[in-house]
Amino acid sequence: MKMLHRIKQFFLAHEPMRHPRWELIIMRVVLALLAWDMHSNWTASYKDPVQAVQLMVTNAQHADVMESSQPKPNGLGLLVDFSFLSNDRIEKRLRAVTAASLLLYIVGVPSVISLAIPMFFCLGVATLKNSQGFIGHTAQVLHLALLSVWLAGAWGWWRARQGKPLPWDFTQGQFEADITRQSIAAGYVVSGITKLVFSQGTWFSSAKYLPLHIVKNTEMKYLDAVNPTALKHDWLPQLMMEHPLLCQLLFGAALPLELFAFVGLYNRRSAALFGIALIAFHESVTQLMSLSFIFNKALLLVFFVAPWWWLFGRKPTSLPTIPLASQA
Amino acid sequence: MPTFLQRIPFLYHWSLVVVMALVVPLLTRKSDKPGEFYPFSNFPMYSRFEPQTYYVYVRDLKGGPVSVAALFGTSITNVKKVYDNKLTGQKKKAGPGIKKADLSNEDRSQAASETLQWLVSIAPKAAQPKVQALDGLELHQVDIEYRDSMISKKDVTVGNLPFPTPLLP
Repeated sequence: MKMLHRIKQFFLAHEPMRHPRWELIIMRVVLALLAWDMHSNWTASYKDPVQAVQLMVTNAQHADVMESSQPKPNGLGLLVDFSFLSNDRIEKRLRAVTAASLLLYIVGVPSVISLAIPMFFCLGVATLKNSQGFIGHTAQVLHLALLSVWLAGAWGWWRARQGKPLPWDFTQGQFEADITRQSIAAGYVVSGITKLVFSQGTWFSSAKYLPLHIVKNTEMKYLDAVNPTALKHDWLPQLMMEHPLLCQLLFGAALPLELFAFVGLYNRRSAALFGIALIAFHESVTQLMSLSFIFNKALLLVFFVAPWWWLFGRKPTSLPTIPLASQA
Repeated sequence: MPTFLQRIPFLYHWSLVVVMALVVPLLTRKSDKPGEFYPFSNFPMYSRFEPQTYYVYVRDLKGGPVSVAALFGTSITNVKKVYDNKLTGQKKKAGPGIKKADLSNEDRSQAASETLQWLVSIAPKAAQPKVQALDGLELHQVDIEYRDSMISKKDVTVGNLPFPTPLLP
């Protein structure tokens, strides 16, 4: 019982995360950079920082929204026709304002102002692209996070006007980080619930077919750019077919991770543990299926794991006092 | 805000879960994309691993594979999604009770041709001369099946788009 109490205390003690200012700046920088990917696709070269910076500048100059209609409107596209965003004059101006706004966001201008245009432009373009008859989910976690930061900014501004404090006596930045983390965790929990419902409980057993999907994804990745380096893992499906239990264990472990991702909201320890586990899961999928999940991994690293805080920001008193067995 | 709601930890999180897992799927159940109201989505990556699947790819009329990323600024995944969507359209035209697998070669060819026209229509302006320099495009469908611990593949040309062709507006 005492051990159970300790484990519960370790994972579920609610200790609101009071990020120091320098950590909030890291979060702002990363969010702004990720938001800029929509206009530059720089994350395609994230392993080469020099080239990534070049792409941020050069690609953005040639970025062009080509979708000029919404044949199958989705989301806000049901209410607003976002095809005006493909008008080059509007698009170029909005992109320039977005770049300036993101810089203002980084230097600390309130998100309700500085993120308004970048967030609506991102959501508008993504909605337009997703209104062509298919939905891309690559940046969904990022766009939900951006929307959440902006909503938290608006809520904080309204509370301040009323002279009321934010929940848990958070500062505005801490509140925005908390809400962002909640939105990221929500995506995982919903994914876990849907997996259970869609697969009617057969998710674990059907994971033995994973090698088939590795073959498909590897060949699709090769055909994207006709780049033979994408075929470097083409030996893997055979190995996995010989060890079906390996597939089942790998993907079987992901379901509870997703379903219980909300545990990562309680305190720094559970956030770090769930963050690391989910990054490890994404990375294994990246290696096996050639799917990047770069936005998920970056957001988990910054908002959940925060290695810089564990290295430089943690004070000895910031861990809760857990009663020793003899004292309990 | 009611006091009982204030007591729920991570209220925003659970509100999003209810919206994405329950409200959006309920409201969009009769739409083309149930569960989707971007950026609110209940989409689970790999919710089901089926024992058979397929992908598509693009070749020029000389037989060489075409890089859709370099020429059209998109991915094979998106090409497949569009093709799948066009097949769904053909299925609806074919009438109730018809499955995608039952569609005729003509129906598939029509879906493939429309997919290739879409692909050409989204080519960035800078890449359009390179696209027009190709004689035309072919869409290939590769069916993959897992049976008796073996993977088998079948590659079929489902449609083509010779140039010059009037492009979709």
